[in-house]
Amino acid sequence: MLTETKKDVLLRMQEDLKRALNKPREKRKWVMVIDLRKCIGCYACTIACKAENVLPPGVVYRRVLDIESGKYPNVKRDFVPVLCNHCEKAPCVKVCPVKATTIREDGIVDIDYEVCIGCRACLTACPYGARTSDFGQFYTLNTPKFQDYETRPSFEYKKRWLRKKGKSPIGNARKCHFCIHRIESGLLPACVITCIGRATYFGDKEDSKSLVAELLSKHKVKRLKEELKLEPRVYYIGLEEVQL
Amino acid sequence: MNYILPILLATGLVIGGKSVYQYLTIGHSLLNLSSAVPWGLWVSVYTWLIGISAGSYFVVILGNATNNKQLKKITDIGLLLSLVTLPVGLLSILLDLGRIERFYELFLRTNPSSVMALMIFVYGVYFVVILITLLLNFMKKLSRTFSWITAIFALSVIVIESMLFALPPAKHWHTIIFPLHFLITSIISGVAFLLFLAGVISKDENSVNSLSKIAILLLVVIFVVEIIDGVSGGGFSQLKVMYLLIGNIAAILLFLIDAKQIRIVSGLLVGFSILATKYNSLVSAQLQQPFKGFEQSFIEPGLNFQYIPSTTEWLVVIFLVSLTITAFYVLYKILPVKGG
Repeated sequence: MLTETKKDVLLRMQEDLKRALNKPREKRKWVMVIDLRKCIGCYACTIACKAENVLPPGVVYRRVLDIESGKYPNVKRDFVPVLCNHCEKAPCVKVCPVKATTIREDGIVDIDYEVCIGCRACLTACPYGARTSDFGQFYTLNTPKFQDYETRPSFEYKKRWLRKKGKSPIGNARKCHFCIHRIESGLLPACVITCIGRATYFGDKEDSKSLVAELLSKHKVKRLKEELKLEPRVYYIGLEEVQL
Repeated sequence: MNYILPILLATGLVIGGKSVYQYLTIGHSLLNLSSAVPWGLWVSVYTWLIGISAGSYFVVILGNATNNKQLKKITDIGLLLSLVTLPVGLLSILLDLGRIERFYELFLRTNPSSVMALMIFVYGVYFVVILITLLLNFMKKLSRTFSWITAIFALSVIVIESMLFALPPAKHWHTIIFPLHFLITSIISGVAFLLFLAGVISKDENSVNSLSKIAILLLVVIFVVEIIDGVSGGGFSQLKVMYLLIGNIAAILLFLIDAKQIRIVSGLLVGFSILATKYNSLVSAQLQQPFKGFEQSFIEPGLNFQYIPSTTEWLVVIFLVSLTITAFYVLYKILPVKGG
């Protein structure tokens, strides 16, 4: 029997997170595990991410694929959240001409907004379509006033970002960063805490006591487009049942 | 009659220049690019202009290396064409950057694993090579050895540039056929514009005929490559079919007609049709979704898998083309170019 059933997984992951943060950064490897059997396609993760990172129109870090398969009457519907896979062999890192995209010691693929030149080579290189470009759009453009929800700062990469004309992250490539600013403050990523099906798990793979390590060892997990051998850090439970 | 070209160029520069200014002050929101199709018309124009540059350089310098009299006659024009199209092509890609003011980072933080980063240095060397070649040609000291070496270098410029698209695994560009397609279309564009210029400026029928033969051969090769590309997964979009019919089959037939004027006009048409095929291969690969239902997974402006260039994008292209022609025209008048 899995330990996950004994205690609320959020509390368990919170404890795992604290334990991981006590280790040096290079000793922890963040991974995400998504249990597709539990995802109900509510899109709460997508919206929470949008709100957490103050994402403008055209920028999304976490989508949820809605896949219908089969023929009537034997039909089914699956939901597959798709985000940056933080690949160990990330093609986006290779193609970035100015080393604005790097892989941190803890495995997170990050973007230095103050270096990124906005060439968008990484967008075309990502086989998961996980990257989007901030083209400087606003939801409340051409209205009497920009609304607060899109003029407030975001705290990505533990810095304060105000989207203003001519300022980063406008013009930059953007993507999921596992909510670095939250996890390094001892908080779980926004998508994890808002998942009402408790389908998204996050933690340190190197910690054998962590929930994610337990899930990875006890379930048959798969990763998206494994044939590309990019070694993604996002694992799925139940992916083999989905006709992608 | 002599004033028509300058008036057209001035109009293009003013109208297009206004759009460049608007774009620089307002930003990417004036473009119809999206995260699904992040590389659009300007990137196509960049590959097109660089292709013309390397293609025309390759042909005239190969003419020198092989001591081909017809091609040697148009060396000046070919080199001048290479010289002007290269920087304007780079301007096109510079304008496309989301953070133009940070382009210097390409030199300060060069990522050796990035083809894009390496290309900046390759273009730098290539520009110097063109200048040296032009100088040697004016001094009549263009040796065959130098010609062979730089001809191979010009070819490698195109091939390395194609790797920018072909190496990452995400898109349909990730095929063996893509670099070949890129290489041949680039050489054709160079040949086509050389043919046009040879006909209009040097008025040398032998050069036009010689270039027509090269163009026919290359058009046949690219036809086969396009078919293989389409069958092997690239598909046959409407634009591609139009290109195959008009820019390829019709062009071959026109080149076969033994009339100088028709061949000159065909050269111009083929040169521009290569922009269409570059645009098609660039954009169509980006329209392929990474997963089933990906586009519908989050619907919002800026995420759709459709792309039609905006008016600003077209007007900036008019500016870039006008700038190229103006630069060629001015340098042609200033420099001691033969064949005028």
